[in-house]
Amino acid sequence: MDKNFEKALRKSLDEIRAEEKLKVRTKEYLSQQIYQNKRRSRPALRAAAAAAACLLTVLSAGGVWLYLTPTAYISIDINPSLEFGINRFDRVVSVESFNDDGQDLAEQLDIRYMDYSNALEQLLSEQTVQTYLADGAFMSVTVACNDDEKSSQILENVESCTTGQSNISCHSANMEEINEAHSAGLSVGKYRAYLELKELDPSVTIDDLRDLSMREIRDLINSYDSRDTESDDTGNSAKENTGSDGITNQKHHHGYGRGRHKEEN
Amino acid sequence: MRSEEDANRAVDLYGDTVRRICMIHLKNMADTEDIFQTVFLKYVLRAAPFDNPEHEKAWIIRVTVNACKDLLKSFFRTRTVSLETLIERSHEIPEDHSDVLEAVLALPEKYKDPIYLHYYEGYTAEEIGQILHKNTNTVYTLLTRARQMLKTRLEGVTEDG
Repeated sequence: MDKNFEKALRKSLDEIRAEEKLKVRTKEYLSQQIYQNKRRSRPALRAAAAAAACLLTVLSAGGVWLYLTPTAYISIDINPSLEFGINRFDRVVSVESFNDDGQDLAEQLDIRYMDYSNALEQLLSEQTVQTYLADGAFMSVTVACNDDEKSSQILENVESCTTGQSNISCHSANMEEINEAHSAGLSVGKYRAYLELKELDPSVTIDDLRDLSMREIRDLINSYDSRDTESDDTGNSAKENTGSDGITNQKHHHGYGRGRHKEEN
Repeated sequence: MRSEEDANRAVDLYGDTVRRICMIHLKNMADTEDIFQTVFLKYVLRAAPFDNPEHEKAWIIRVTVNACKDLLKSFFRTRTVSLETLIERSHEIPEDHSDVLEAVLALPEKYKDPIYLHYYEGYTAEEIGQILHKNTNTVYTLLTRARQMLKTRLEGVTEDG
């Protein structure tokens, strides 16, 4: 039977073919599955995306933190006592005032996120400040930074901003001084003046100075100093200062105008 | 993961074979479609390459046979007959099936594949053993018994010996 059987079976089975409809539907199903599988492989992609998003968040948080953390301070004391926090990108990220005048001045200024040189220029061109300076007030600008190089760089810029102003003195300080000043509730400029004065008169307290303008403190210092040798002019413009005759006390590492003294930080 | 083109090619190339195996084992279109999907999806998902076209075909056949077996084995199926099956059964299998095919379909399940593979696909007992994961001698036995059964059955219809 084998041969006939085989032939007959072959013949009848040959007639059986996959219906077009069946094939089409299978293909549709497969393409759907392949497509879905591609989509199904996405959890990995999604995880990667999530990880990337997390990373981005962390990075941007870190970036914001980096941006918003002051690495240097510029303290400005006339009578208004202000302190700019400068981030590592040389932008002003915080403006802190240490007395009411400073508060008023800070409110007038819109210098947040400005480059500190521009900020300083704006401050100097501020009417209030102009008035102070014209009235013979004394302005002290103190730069504090942990990084000496950066500190001197800022100081240099600050000095170039303040050239032409006669009664401005620039100093540098270190972060320790900043912290001490802050814990005493003073801006660093005033705190340094306080230290200077305290050396001459140990009975002076911080509270005594808090409400004095820099001019007054300076005058006080000078009154102690006046018995000391008249210091030379050191070629700066301090002479033009009214009142105190531009007496500087080199012993206390203090200079006027462009006189720049890197402190022992 | 194979491409869609690859999948379509396989459906065109092996569709008839799969359809025949389904035809031997299954009685309705819905199940056949299930098998098609299962088999070709497995094909699509198979990462390992095939040694040659013969290997590929043998693989398709084995997967189809197993899929049919699984389908027939499933508990639900063994206890129930779906309404569709009842409806479709009436016109599913064309009436003009030859006696020979009817005889094959009437065989117990385990004989169908060896008969199909041997007589239609032309595989040797050894090859059938490989495809079905059976001992060659078992395949011989199955073939012999199936032949006897077919003979008995067909002798009642035809006079061919």
